[in-house]
Amino acid sequence: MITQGTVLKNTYQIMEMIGAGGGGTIYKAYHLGLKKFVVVKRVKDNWASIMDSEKEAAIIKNLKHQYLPQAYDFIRLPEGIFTVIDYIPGYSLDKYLFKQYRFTQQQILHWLKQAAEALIYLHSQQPPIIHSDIKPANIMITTQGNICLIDFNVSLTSTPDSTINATSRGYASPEQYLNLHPINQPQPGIPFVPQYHFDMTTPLDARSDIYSLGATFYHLMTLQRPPRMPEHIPEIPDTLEGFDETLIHIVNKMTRYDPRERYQTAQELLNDLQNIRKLDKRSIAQRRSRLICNTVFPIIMAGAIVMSVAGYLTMGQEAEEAFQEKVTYADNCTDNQEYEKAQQAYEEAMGMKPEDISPYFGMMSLYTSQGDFESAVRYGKDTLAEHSFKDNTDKERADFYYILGNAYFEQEQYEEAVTQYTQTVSLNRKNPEYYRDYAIALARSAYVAKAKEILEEAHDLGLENDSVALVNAEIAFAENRTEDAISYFRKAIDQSSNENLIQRAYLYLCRTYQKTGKYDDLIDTITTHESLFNTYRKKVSKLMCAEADLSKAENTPEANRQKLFAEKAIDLYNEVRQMGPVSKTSQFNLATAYEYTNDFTHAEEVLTEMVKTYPNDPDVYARLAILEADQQGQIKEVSSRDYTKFKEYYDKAEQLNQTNKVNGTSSAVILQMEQLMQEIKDNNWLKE
Amino acid sequence: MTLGMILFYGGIVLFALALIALVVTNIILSVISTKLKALMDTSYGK
Repeated sequence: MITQGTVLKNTYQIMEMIGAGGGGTIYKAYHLGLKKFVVVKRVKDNWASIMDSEKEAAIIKNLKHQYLPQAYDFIRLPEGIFTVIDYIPGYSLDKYLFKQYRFTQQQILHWLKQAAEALIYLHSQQPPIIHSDIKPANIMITTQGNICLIDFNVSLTSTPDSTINATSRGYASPEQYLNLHPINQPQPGIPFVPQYHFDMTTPLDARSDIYSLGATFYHLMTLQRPPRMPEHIPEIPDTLEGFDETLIHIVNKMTRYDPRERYQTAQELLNDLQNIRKLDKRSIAQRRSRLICNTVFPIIMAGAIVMSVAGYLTMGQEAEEAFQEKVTYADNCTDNQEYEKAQQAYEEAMGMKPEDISPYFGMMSLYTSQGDFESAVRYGKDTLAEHSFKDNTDKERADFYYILGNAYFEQEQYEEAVTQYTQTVSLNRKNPEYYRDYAIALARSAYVAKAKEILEEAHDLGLENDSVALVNAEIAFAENRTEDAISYFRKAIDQSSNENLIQRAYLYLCRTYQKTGKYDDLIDTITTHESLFNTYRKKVSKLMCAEADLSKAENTPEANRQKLFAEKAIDLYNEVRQMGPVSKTSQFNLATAYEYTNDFTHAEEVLTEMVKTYPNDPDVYARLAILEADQQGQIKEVSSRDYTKFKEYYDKAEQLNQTNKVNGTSSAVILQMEQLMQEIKDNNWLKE
Repeated sequence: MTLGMILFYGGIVLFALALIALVVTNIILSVISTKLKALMDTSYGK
């Protein structure tokens, strides 16, 4: 018999009985050795019979955890079996529940975590210790506000076949109920105390403790004891005041009827409790928002970069297309002789790509198409001085040098043409036509040997026979073999199907006629084949005819015939003037032709017109002076002659000649004028 | 306005807008996060 004052094992002095439960009677005792209070629990007799004292004593003594009481001893006495554990000052949760005490969410969470840690410790023992009797009465709240999970002896007594149990109604897991089998029936007149046979047909595991812990906290949160019968605990509603959904969901998951739907381990439970902030739906929503924001916007930004890069590339492509379109349009305008439109389009193209050679080449073509080789030369020189066209291909640059060479050639500046053709063939060695014109320019510059050498190279490159004949003709002409030259020109014309080459060959042939004084052959050839020529060459051919007629007028002693040829020349020159600007020489020739017809008025008109075009050219004034002298010379009465106007033109011409003299020499026109002045002075015709 | 220009300038504008939106949204989310943390400290303890 245990009474107050009883000393067990000479160590534990019983102070008072503080409780009795399914597992046995509990006493507060004093440890005489350690001088501290302890709890002595007398295990019920029917349990004691099945406990393996030595083994379980060792297990209990070895349990050390901050949320479990420390077990000191395990005593087997005739009075029964006793376990000695720490005395935990404080109250168990059922005391608080009895008073309907409402705990805060923070407290609930705090204790739930501590309980989970205690369970992790128990379940991690070998063999795992399943408490199997977790309920508010077995959770003490210490004076420090922590929990202490007590009364886990039952777990040690669970055997496959036993009439003992610790199935606390409402807190026991559904699977614990499966192990209970009623062994008595209610009888009339006798208070019925149900008794059960307990076995372990359904083995308990960690999930059973998790259920009981969940049921305990269900009670703490709702202040309603879980249903006593083994059925589903109704889920705590999400709207339970004072608690967040997340915690409610955790507790609801702990109390699922089907163990497979609960947390499978206490560690899993603890993980969720520790991460409860992350599981909170507000936190999830916030994280989702951040994820969306940090994913969607960067994706949009990356897309925007791709879009911009694509746009940049497309812009480049579009600019190139617009540029090419503009150049093509300008080229078409040139072909259609819409020169102003062409020039404007080329200039716009230059604005688009200032370092692309195409529009500059187009401008050169525009000038040469109009026969304005002077402008072409000036433009070509300026362009090459200002641009390097490094981004263009050698072939494109070769084409530019070639067209510039052609302009020089047409201007009869053959040395310069040779320079440009040299550049051309250095940039593009594959075009035999470059070599052909290079050889012709060399021949005209009297570099006959070099011309032959270049012709050889052109021949090796596959120069056509018509072109070879053309070059041979020029070489023959340069060597004064005019008959050979004429023969080669005719050969070139006969062999060629190239319109351009045929036109050139005819003009070069006429040039040969001109140099050899065969004016009739020249005029006959041009008259017969005029229809073959393009606009520019038509103009050149007419000028050649005009010059031939003028030469015939010069060489004819007969006045009537002279006038006739001069009139033909005048008609042709005026025709050419209608076709576009003409050279200074041609205008002088026109004035001369008028003189042959004694039409001094028109002659003066032509020269006065030239003053506007060449205001600083001494030759124009000299020519005017000569015309004036000739006009005065027509007056038979010497005393009636007035050389005042002549003197004015002379002075102007001399003044300009002083500033414009090239290499200190005067032109033939100036010399002729000075000779006339001398004659006038000698004859004292000049009036003071 | 060519397609290339629309893509190029559109891309730049879109990038700028997305960048501004990213920064602004992050600032707003940071404010919300601070408030949420305070709220959770109240709910679950520090």
